[in-house]
Amino acid sequence: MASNGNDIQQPRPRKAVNPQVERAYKQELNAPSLTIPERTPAGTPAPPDDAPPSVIATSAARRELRKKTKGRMFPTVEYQHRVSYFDPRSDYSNFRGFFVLFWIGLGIMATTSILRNLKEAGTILSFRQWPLFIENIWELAISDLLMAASTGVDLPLNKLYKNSKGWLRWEKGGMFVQCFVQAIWLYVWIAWPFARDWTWTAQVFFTLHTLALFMKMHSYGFYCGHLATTLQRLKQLDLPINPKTPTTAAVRYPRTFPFPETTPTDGTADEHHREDNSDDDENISPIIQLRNDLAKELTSPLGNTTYPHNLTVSNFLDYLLCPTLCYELEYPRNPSRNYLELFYKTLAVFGCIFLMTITSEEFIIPVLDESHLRLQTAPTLIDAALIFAETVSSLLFPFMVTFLLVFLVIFEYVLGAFAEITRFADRQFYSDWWNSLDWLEFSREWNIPVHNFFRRHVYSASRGVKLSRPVATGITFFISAVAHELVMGCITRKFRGYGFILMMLQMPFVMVQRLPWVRRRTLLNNVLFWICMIMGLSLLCALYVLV
Amino acid sequence: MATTAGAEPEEEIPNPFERLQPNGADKGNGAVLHPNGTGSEATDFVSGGAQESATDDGDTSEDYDDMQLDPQTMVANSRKSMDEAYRPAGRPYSSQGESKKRRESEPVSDFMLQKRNSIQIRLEKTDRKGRYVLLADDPEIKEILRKGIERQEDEAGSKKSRRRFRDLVFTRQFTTFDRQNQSASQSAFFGFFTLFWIAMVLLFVQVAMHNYRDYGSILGTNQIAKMMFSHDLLVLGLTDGVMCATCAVTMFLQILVRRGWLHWEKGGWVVQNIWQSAYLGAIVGWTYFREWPWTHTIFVVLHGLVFLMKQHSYAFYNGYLSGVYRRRAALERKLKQLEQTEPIASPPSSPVATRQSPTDYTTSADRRGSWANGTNGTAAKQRPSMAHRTGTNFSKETSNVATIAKAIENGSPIDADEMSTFSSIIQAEITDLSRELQGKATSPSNSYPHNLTLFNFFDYICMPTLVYELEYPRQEFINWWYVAEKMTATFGVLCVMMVISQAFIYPPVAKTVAMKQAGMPIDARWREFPFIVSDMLFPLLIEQLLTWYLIWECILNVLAELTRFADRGFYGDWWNSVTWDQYARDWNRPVHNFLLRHVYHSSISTFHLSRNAATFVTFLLSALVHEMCMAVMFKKVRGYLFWMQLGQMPLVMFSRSKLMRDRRVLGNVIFWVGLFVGPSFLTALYLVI
Repeated sequence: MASNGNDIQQPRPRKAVNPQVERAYKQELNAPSLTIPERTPAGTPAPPDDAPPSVIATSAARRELRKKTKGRMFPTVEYQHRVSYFDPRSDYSNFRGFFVLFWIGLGIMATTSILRNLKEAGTILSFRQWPLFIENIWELAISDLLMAASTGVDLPLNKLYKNSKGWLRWEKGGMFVQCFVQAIWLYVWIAWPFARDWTWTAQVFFTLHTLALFMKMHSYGFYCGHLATTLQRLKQLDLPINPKTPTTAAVRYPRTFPFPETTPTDGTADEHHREDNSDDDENISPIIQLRNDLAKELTSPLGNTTYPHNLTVSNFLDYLLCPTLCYELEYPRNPSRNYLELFYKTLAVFGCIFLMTITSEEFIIPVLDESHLRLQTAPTLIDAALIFAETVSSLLFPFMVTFLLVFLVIFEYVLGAFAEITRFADRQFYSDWWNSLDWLEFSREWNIPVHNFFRRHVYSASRGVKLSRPVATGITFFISAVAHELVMGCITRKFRGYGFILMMLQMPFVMVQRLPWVRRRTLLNNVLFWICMIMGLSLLCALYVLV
Repeated sequence: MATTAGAEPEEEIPNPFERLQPNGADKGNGAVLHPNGTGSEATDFVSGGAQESATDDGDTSEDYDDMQLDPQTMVANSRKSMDEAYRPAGRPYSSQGESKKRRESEPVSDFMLQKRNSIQIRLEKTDRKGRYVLLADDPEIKEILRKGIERQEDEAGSKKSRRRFRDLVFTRQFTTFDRQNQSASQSAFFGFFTLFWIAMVLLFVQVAMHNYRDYGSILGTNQIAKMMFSHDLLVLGLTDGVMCATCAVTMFLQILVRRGWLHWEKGGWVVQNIWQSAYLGAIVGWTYFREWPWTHTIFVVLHGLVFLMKQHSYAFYNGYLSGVYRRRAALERKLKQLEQTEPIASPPSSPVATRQSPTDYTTSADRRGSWANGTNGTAAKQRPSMAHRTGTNFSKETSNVATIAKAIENGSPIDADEMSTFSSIIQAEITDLSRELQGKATSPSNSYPHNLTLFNFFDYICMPTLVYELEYPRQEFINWWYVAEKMTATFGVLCVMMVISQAFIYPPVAKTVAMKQAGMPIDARWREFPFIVSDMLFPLLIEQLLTWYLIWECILNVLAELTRFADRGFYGDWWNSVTWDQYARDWNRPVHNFLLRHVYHSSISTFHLSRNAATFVTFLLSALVHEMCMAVMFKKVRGYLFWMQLGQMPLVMFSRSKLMRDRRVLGNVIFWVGLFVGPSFLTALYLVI
């Protein structure tokens, strides 16, 4: 991994190795002589100093993976100090000039359209959409604040789960209460703009924000609920241990080593036994081991907070502001805020919105209006289809620009600005999705906060209830598609399911692309990806607006 | 020179004198006269690590601003002269302050210019019987020896300083956007490259669809293609062929020079310049005479300029080598003459001129140090320069070899020791010259006079470089799939360019022409001016990028693949340029290399210009040529491009100032705005006014 001196992680190069494994490998290579032949967790001796790199690497990977899996019960997201691709501190500067070109191109586009407006209308810019923006602005702001405030219901609820002894305990009724509250919350805030009949711009902002806050709420509720259970178990271990005390292992270990399966001795689970074998010092008693694991679960990854102390208003507010959707007890933070950077990012947000407005004003809305009229007067179906195709083709470029701008404004600037405010150090909000070879890769890379949320709270949760991998992936995709359809429906007030169908179509498409001989053609796959991307956006817009 | 008496004379003889023994000759072989002349160049370009040497090249060859220049450099930067003419200032010598007192007792430089026919030598008795210390006070000999020692020490100690500047290292490398380039195809932003090309294809399809709907043909009204292909196409091809064939004139001139019928330094280069002027004049005149459309004209003129630069480089490099060749021949004659001379008996009778304290000769190491340092101050200044590389008239030279040659010429008495010294020095010089003649060729069979063949010449003409070298790094085989791919890309890019210019550039241009024909007054046209500029901004930017890609990525790569030329450094990462001079260096490496070698450094060496003046001359020439292209395209001379290009020089100075130095992003923004607005602004200017 490239690091630019002060230990900031760079976004990964195209195909990278697992960073932890690599780090462990490097450590292993750097200081091999310090370690006397110790017993690794697996009970195998550490490789000798002169072992071939393959053996060292295997050993390192094994140890590291075990350590990682052992770390937490709840699926974790690894946060670390990282910069994004387009960050000025990023190492990837060999094509930075083209990034500058992109911005200058957009700037010149704006200037040109101002010129044309001056010539034709005499004013600098005529925003026909301007009323759309300002119509509900105060109502929007107040509703947004209320919505953000209403997520605070999570905090008392979680205190309740923690302290309750009866049916409100998390694993009994608490989970259902939480789900119920969330469902009501979601319904209310989704329905609110419809009830108030807002303009589409206000509505799309509000809906997206609702979804983001919903995910935050869910993550907070479920993670803290899990921790509440863990805390209760840990406290139970303080009491004299009776057969009723749950002693199932806190951590599941991977079955990677062909150990002779010995029968469980004192009623503990299979996993518990394995834990015995695989611990650093084997003479630790299972109860102490369990206590250690539970305590570790309750402590934050960086080790500065433990579970019940985090249930404070300030912690919750901080979490709401952090550019992440997965709750952790603690995040890596930068030592200081760079106000200049914050200013630039804020400026860039407004600049991007301005440019998007111009793009839609100049290139999207006129085309759609015109096609709308022509479609109404189209005599035959074939004519209508031709007009439709032409609309799609002329929307290609504006939509590509809009898409790139939306990407940049959200993932580089808005999230970056919030990261700057909260000194959040992990700026990896996106990976190199533009090199994607298939849709799964794209969905993993282009929106990393949501991807992390889905992986942690949907995929892993479904895996937890013993679903197979493809089914879990399918469920994840399904929920994602429903959410996208919801957003599209809110924008256009039409629930047609085009977006949903197109998204679900990605699944068979991915299966075809995963065939070995298709998979190897990386350039072809990338080309296909981009074509689908550009065409898809333009097609979707035309479908929703015109049909 | 005296001989020593006794059984084992060599043991006690001071170390520097060992060089006077015949067997010491090969030690001083390389370049007595050129202390850091022998370099690692020969190994440099055969080393395969393309990436490494590419960066290395970037560090060294562009670094000429910090170099100290030797104003006596004669022919610009053949690789050797670069090596010596540009060296970092203040190169440290070993054991600097060791023997200052000694220097005072040796006013060597004053003696250098005097002619001495006899050398004073004294013998000093040592305490052991039969052993003597031989001391020579002759400053010339001392100087020669000193240089030999200095050179040896240089070789041992200063490899680094020698590598500071290397003229044009050709290495194996790929262009940035090439599929073969691992680091590019694995780049983190590979996807955006794909996106760009998809956008181009979609643009093509979009325009084609509209054209089909409106005109019934995907090319639309298609005036540009008609203009390109309707008129004089065959004549164009023939002209191009004739242009290529007449390049051979340069080669025949060089053969004349080689045969000695034409002296390069006296008349040859004048003839060559006349020929080049005539060549360019004929091309431009021909385009006017045939009344070609601008597409034909610009193609022929640009291609002609390329041939012109190739010829210039070929002629001036070979012309310089011819001088070296003549000098070597002259020295060989001198050597033969020397061998035929009868050595005289050596009388050790010369009186001692200056007494030196015997403590100076205590240890060998000390002596070495003092020899090396004795004339340190003058040595750095009096480095033999390229002027001595090509001269054959030894009576005007002041170098050691010339002194020796003069001595031989005059028939002055030479004793046996002197003779061996002289012959070893001449030998060394000859070896050095031979190395110069071999240049970058890997085997002597490709060295200077053998390269003057028609095959070599046309091989060079076909290669995608404008700088002649005796040999270039070559690939082992031709990858025909690669050729096919790049050819397809060439034609694809041409199609896209055609469609874009037809759809987006032709309408505003036609509008301006119509405005002029309708007799619109100038101020009315001037009011239209900003809109014409803004209409052409994006299409011209795309055209510009595509043209660049077409030539420097597609066509040059095809040529390189066909000629198995391995150095594909046709451009650097100009898109990251912070200043204009960086862009000028990076976007067109072949021409940059040509200008650097044959204009910038030539003007410094032949006209003794300062660096700034040489930069100005280079910019001026480039601007003139660009303006000429504009003139033949628009058939009018307005000088807009000329002044804009010269305006870059203050801009460069501004961007080097303290205010701008660290603002890389701002610099890049300014650069891109200029590149974006420039072409369309210029085109509009030439069209409207």
